Formats: sequence, structure tokens, C-alpha cells
Amino acid sequence: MLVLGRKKGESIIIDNDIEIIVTAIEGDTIKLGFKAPKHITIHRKEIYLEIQEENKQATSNVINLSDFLNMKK
Amino acid sequence: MKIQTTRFGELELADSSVITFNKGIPGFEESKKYVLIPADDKGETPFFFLQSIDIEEVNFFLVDPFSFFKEYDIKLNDQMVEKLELESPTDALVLTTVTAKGEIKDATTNLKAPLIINNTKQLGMQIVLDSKDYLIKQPLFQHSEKAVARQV
Repeated sequence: MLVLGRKKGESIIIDNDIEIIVTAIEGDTIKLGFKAPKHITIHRKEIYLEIQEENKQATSNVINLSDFLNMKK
Repeated sequence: MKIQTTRFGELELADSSVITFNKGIPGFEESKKYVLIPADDKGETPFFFLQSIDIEEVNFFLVDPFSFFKEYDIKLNDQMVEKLELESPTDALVLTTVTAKGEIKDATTNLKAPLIINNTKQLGMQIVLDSKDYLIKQPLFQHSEKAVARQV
């Protein structure tokens, strides 16, 4: 893993067209700005991991499906 | 075309019914092709299966979130509209995954990350909403009680 030191206002360029800017540093929290092409999706990792996990659970329902299927709109 | 599935056995389906998720679905990035199957033939339930064509045992249990959450409201940004090639809001089908580990009354649905399907172009993606109002584990059946409790 590459580790770079950056100060407030400085930035990092990845692959020519993705820029990550350190916009603020407050205690142990830093705020980052992102400039990237539209097709790049950016998420907080923990949210992405939660959604991955939730999707996995949505494929392995152990409940009786007929309970659901008997429900009308 | 014919596909093999763990839940439904062999399925015969029209090529035109294949929905492509170009980026896959988080946790299942390797599966890009799916078919949407209503949970009941008559279309009387709001539930669906999204069956993978690439991996026979993968299928998601989905619900039409508007059937349970009338106030559910999502906004697609320009990138999402572009990726899904959406030309009209009526082309977009919104569905959310359902999970239930125990009893049916404890079932939850993921309102934070709905699946959006362009049912004209047959393109789909799972998006993540910024709104803090929508939970990854939103109880499917208890929301009305909570809403009442809040008013008290």
C-alpha cells in the first residue's frame, strides 16, 4: 500500500482523471473532496460492505416464502 | 434460451427478458445477467425474484417498496440516469431486497440501496441513496406502528 502525507488543500491524482482533495482537517476527522469521471462510483466503505452483506442475506432467506406470497398488494 | 436455477429448476425465457447489471450487484459482482420473475403468476403480490442467469443458485428476493412505504421517494442523479439510459421516469422499475432471518414479522427491506431497472432497455443497477431517512434494515411490517408512536 502506498502511503502519502498531505496537508489541507493538497490533493492526490489517480490515473490522470481522479482527484482527491484534503479539504479540511478537524481533530481525527479529515474531509475529502473527490473529482472523478461520471462512471466512477464513490462510497464510504462501511456502507458498501453493509450493502454487500445485506444482498447476501437477501439471497438466502430461510423463512417460509409462502407467508410472503399469500400477501396481496 | 434455457437456464438452470436452483430455486426454479430449468427456466425457458425470452432473450429480451434478460436484464444486464453492467457492474453486477455488490457482493455478486461476477453475475451480470438476471431475469425478473414475479413471485406469483397473477401479479397479485408485490414480491419478485431476481434470478441470476450466470450463477444458478443466486436469486434475490425483492419487493415493490411503494406497496409498503407510500412516502418512499428516490431521486436519481444525472449519472444514474445516464448509466441506465433512462429516457422517461415510467421506464424505471424500483425494487428493494428483502431479508428475514427469523419470523416473517421481522422481515426487513433495504430502502437505502434500491435496485433500479430500466424495463425498456433491460438495464439495472443497485444505487445507494444519500438520504439518512432510509435504512438498510427497514422493518417491512412495523413501520406503521412506529409512525403512530412518533405522533404520540
